[in-house]
Amino acid sequence: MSEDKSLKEVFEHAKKPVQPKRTDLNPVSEAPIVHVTYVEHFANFHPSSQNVAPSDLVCYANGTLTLSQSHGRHWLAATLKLWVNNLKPGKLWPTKTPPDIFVDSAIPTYVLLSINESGQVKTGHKLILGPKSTTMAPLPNLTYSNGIFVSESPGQVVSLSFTLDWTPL
Amino acid sequence: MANDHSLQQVFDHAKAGNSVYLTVVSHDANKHPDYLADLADLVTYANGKAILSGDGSELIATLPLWINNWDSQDSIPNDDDKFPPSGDFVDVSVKDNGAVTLSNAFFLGPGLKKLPLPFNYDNGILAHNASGRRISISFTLA
Repeated sequence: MSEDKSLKEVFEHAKKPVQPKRTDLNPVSEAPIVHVTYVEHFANFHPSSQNVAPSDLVCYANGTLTLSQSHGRHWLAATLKLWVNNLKPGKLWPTKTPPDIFVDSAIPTYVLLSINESGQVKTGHKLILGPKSTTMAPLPNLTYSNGIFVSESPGQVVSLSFTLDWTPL
Repeated sequence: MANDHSLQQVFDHAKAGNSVYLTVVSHDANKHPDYLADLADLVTYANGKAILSGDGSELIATLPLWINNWDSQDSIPNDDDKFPPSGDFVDVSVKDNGAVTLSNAFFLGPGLKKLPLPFNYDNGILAHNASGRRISISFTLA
């Protein structure tokens, strides 16, 4: 695992060729892999149901990005399952810290993500746009700093970061 | 529940004897949860009720922290337990001028007990961005 300090490093890692596993005597190979951690925090939306302290809506996703090329430009993209800060019903509060503050929704929801080499990030939020939506829009006011993209708009903060690793084939 | 569009509105709501709840989220690009070190960057979540200080200038809360680990009791990653409780807490203070102080090693790094951080308020959300990290705090008026 290595840390990324620039978007260039992320794409350079994703483009690396398959190579023999560095510390294994057996003839196995490994391929570069890029994971993304994605968080949304909405000030004036609320989880649809919760029996815990009132909160604003927070969404979380984590998964693997796939490298592709289109119109001469490389993209890292994924459709990721989304977790929301609903509390699983039946848990006690505040006598016991809830063991599971982010649960799967009854109908799985997803976020579409794509990032290009020039730093544009597009997202499509199926929780808000509907399960059949394939609409993606660029994140506004986007900045990248030392491993993390942050997009701020009124009442909303979105951030995504990368984890670089190798996976055995 | 009501939405807030200014810090003044949040403090007026609290001064009128109503409840204010905080939702606190941090995302660190180059820190990793223990059990997901190769897969994810560190995200922490806290939520709970804030108390107004005696002079009405500060909202204070001690909130339980959840982290995007999976429960160490589990032998494999469990989709149903994405944010188990860390067993740790964060102290949060928000002043009516927007000054924010946090105290927790997950937010500040080991050895730091308490740290004021620069935040900007925009339409319901206080945001702090630093190299490789962002923290956001929002309010729910009940």
